[in-house]
Amino acid sequence: MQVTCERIGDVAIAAVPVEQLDASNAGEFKRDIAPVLEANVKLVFDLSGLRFIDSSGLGAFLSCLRRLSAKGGDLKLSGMSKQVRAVFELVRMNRIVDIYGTREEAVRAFGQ
Amino acid sequence: MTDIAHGVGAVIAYVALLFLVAVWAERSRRGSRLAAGPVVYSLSLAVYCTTWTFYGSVGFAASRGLLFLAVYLGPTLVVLMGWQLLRKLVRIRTEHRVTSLADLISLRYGRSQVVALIATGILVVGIVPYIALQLKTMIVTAALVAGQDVAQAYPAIGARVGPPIVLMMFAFTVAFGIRRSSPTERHPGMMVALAVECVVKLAAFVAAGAFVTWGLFHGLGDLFRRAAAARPPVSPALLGPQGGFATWLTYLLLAAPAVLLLPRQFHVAVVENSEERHLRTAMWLFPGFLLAINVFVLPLAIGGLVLGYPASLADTFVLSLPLAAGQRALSWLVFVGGFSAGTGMVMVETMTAATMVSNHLLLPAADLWRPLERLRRHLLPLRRFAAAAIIGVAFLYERAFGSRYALVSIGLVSFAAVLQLAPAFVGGLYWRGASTAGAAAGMIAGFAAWSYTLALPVVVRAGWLPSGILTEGPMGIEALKPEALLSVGGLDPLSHAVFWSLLLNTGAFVFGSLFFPAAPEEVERAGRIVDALAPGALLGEGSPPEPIAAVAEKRAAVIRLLSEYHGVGEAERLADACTAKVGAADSARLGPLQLGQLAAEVETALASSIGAAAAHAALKRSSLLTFAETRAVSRAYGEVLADLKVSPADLHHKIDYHRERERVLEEEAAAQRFRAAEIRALNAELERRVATRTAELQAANELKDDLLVREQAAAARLEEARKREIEIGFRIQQMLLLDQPPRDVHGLRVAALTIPSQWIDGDFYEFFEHEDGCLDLIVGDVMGKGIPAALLGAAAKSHFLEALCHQLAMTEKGKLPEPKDIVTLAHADMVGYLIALESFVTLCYARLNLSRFNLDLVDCGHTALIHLHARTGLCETRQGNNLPLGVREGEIFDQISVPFEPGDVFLFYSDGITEAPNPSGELFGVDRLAESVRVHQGLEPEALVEAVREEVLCFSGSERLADDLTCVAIKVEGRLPVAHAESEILSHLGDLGRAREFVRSFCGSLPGAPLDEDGVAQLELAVNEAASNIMKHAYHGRSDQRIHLDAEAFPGHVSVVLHHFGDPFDPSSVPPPPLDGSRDSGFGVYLIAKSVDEVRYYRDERGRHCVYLRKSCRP
Repeated sequence: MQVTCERIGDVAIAAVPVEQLDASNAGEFKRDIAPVLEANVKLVFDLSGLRFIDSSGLGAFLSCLRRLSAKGGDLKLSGMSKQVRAVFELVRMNRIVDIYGTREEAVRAFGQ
Repeated sequence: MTDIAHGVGAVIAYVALLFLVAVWAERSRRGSRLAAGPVVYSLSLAVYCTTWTFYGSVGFAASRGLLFLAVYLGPTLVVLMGWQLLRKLVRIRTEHRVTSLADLISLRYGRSQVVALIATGILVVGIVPYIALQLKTMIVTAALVAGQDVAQAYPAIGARVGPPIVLMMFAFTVAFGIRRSSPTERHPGMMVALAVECVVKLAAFVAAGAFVTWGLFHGLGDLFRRAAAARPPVSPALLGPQGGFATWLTYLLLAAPAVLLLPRQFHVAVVENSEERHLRTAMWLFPGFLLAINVFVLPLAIGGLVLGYPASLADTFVLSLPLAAGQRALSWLVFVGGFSAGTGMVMVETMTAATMVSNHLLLPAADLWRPLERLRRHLLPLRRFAAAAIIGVAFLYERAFGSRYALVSIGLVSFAAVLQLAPAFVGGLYWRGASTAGAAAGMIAGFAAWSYTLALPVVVRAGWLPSGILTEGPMGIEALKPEALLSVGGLDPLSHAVFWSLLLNTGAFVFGSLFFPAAPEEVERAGRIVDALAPGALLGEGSPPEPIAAVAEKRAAVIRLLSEYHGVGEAERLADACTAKVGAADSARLGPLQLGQLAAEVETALASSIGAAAAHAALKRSSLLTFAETRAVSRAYGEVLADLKVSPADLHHKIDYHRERERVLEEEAAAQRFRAAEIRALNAELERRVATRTAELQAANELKDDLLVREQAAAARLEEARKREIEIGFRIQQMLLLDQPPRDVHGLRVAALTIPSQWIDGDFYEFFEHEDGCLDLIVGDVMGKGIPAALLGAAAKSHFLEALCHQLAMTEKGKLPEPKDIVTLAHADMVGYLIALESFVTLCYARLNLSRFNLDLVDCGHTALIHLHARTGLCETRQGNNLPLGVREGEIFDQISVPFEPGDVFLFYSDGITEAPNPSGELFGVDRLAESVRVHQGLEPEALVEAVREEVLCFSGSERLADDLTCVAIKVEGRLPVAHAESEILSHLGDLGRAREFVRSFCGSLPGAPLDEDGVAQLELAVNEAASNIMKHAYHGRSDQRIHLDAEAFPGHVSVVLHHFGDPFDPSSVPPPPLDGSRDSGFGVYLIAKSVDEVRYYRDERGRHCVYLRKSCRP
């Protein structure tokens, strides 16, 4: 899948390019996001296009977070729909990764 | 013309009959048992004999003499000597769910899709000429039997008769082989129809042979005499050895592997095999069949030649000789026989080829190219399309090349093609070093050589390419002549092709494997295939050193025995439980002690449904233990007893307490009788004294009267004491043992019934109602009769009450103690005195949970619980594995979970019902009881127990029963779903979206939207996770299996059940993951549990694994 990436200062913003992230495409997502993780330290994911996520999708975000943390970077998530956010909260991922309403808020949070 | 009408009518009736037989085999229990039996299996192997055998052998024999025998000798040798290989294949199929030959080969080579694709390609290309051959024969014989001159107008007739026959073959294939999708790829209906066809073709061929030998000639002697006298003489050329050593070797080499490598042969021999031991029957029945169908080949060939028919028409002698003799009925029989041979071959071959094409060509293509993705949802139409394509191409082949070749040469081209799989196949099974690269290279090299040396000449001879290629070599290069490569001469074209293709194939295979060895994990996986027959690794310490029997074999024997009394699914479950109990579930072989224990377990399992005696007799009658095994078992037991220093007599004495008690009673009665005799003797003495001493007459008379009165009084007191014992026992039972069934349990209706017998049994039952829609029920039976049994029953009941109260106090509020814990505790309290009194109690503790629609059952050797499913109207018996109470100290009890549905009925009962005998000594039995429940399923519990009582009394023909009759019926009040929908997805991760879509649209279709948006999303997530887990863990990533989804809406909740046939996977058994970010997988099960209100795993009555998800509606 094609991950589009824009930058504001030293923060990269990547939009999740699918509506549904499940076991069938989570692996593909992990693979295609790898170069973005390589190239950046501060990363914001824009999840506003995402309508459904399952445990494999959660796993993909966790792995992104770990890879960024390993090199001293950080990950912030934004733009989640109510249902997607509910799944993140179900496994308490909201305690491990910061979640913001919009990508702008997330970028600002990096600045502080 | 009427003759033709009759004949066509007969053929149509025959086809209809076959179809009915197939449907019968699939629907009825007896039919499916027959289909899974050894005879149908062995007969179906004879699908090897196609029209090529039926007509072509005679043609072959007419031109090449005895050489035709090589084609049947090869398979005979394989089946007789290679049965270990067959066993290995069957074992691998069972273990890895292999669906076809291509599947097996790819499985061995690291599940390589490329290998599967190559194998599929070779097989499909290889069998097309073979199917074409069947079509050609059917066209020719149809025309012949209809009275047309085939020799003159063959191609024209083919154009007219061909299309209807092609359509008919396609209809046949779809009707028998691709009618519905079956996850095991097994087709009982098709197999039985096939077996019938094989019998018919044999009968028809033998009839034709017998007619020619004894109808047209005067026996075999006359036939050979006239052959010798004929001008020109025919027989020496036929009977003498034909062809050199190389030719015979070639034919053997072609035919021997074909019996396994032709797709249809692999399918019937391996995929359809239901039990390994059927191979033993096949070992003699299949070669016997081949022998029988070959007996008359030579007489038919010689007979036709002697009667002046040209050898070029010998392919149709079987039909044309009876026709020419005016035997219309026989001709039609022969035609039907040939038709059977042809249809049987075409249907199995096309079906399995279509399976391979869809699984290894079209589905992988769908994975690679998105637009094809939709194909995955239409597996059945896809296979039908593939089947149509294969038959269509075969017909085109027949049109293009069919008229130029004899039957046999077309068939052998096919044999040579499938032979190209042999090195990869055999090497893969026995050589660890064989690698994927080697297999692929070998198959490609061999197939290329086959194409060049055999297929190319066919195309050239059809005039499609210049004939110079054959005579002078391509572009005039002599060394490249397709039929004499590198100028190798002196071989017939077939032997030449087999030589070159096998040489290149094997060479590429071996060198490819050596130079591109397999990766370590591939070698390890390959080891599992190569060592498929090796005994399990677990057998070692702790097991006796000399295992004497194979677990799989014994398990099959146990299932066979149990399935006489239970359904097959239940029998399998019981058999697994028995093998697990003797600790042999994971090992491959059994030691003598384990074997003895297994027999005992099976007897116990049987005893609870048919009574101990009948069980013992059944076990003796069955062939579970062979003579040698019985001896080994008793020798082993003898050694154990010697170690324990207990004499067998002591042991027997201890075990048979009941008989012991009878003996004591009899001794007491004898003592009383002895005393009475003493009194009588005294009396006589007195009379003698009276005679001598008249003076004392009066006194003596008084004494005599007194003694007589005392004798009578003693007898009366004994009788009185017995009566009183019964009365006391009865009062104990009424007051202490039997509880009043509760009247107002919400959602349940309960009724109980007891008929006391002349001797009080220790039957008892008890109900406990809990607050939250749970009802506990105990039904028990103390061994023995009379006051002791009644008192023990009362004591057992009080122990259970005490244990329950104790456990309730120990469990946190709002929860209930598990039934198994209550039983374990109560047992611990009473086991001491049960053992001391040498008594035991069979019992079942059941808890009906109405909020979860689940029954927990702790069964301690009690009678099987009867469960009537309202949905199917069928009864199922349920049993646990625990020992009765009082057998072993420190026993831990297990419980099983039985899901139920609204309208279901449970029947608990004592063995007084199932062991009630009729006047001829036959027992009522659990089957009769279950049938009675099934017949009376419309009745309310009160009426149901009454109906059962009447039936038992009527059966026994007596009002007085030897045992108490106790029976409790519980009916779950009916609550039907308000909506229901089903769907099926493939076990392909890409199908997860479809599962979610199904849930969403089902919830969306419900009136009044009982689940809100969040609720629907949560249920969707749970179904998604459950399906994804099934794909990963139950099907291990196989993407061609199926998952069935069943959604139902009730007032108050929505449920989705996912059914599958993979390995058992219980989501509730997975521990919760750490939620600290340290892991990025394994949340699935946790998400399911958090998203829905109930998750349950069970196996349903069809043996499917089920994951049940329930989402409650928010008020």
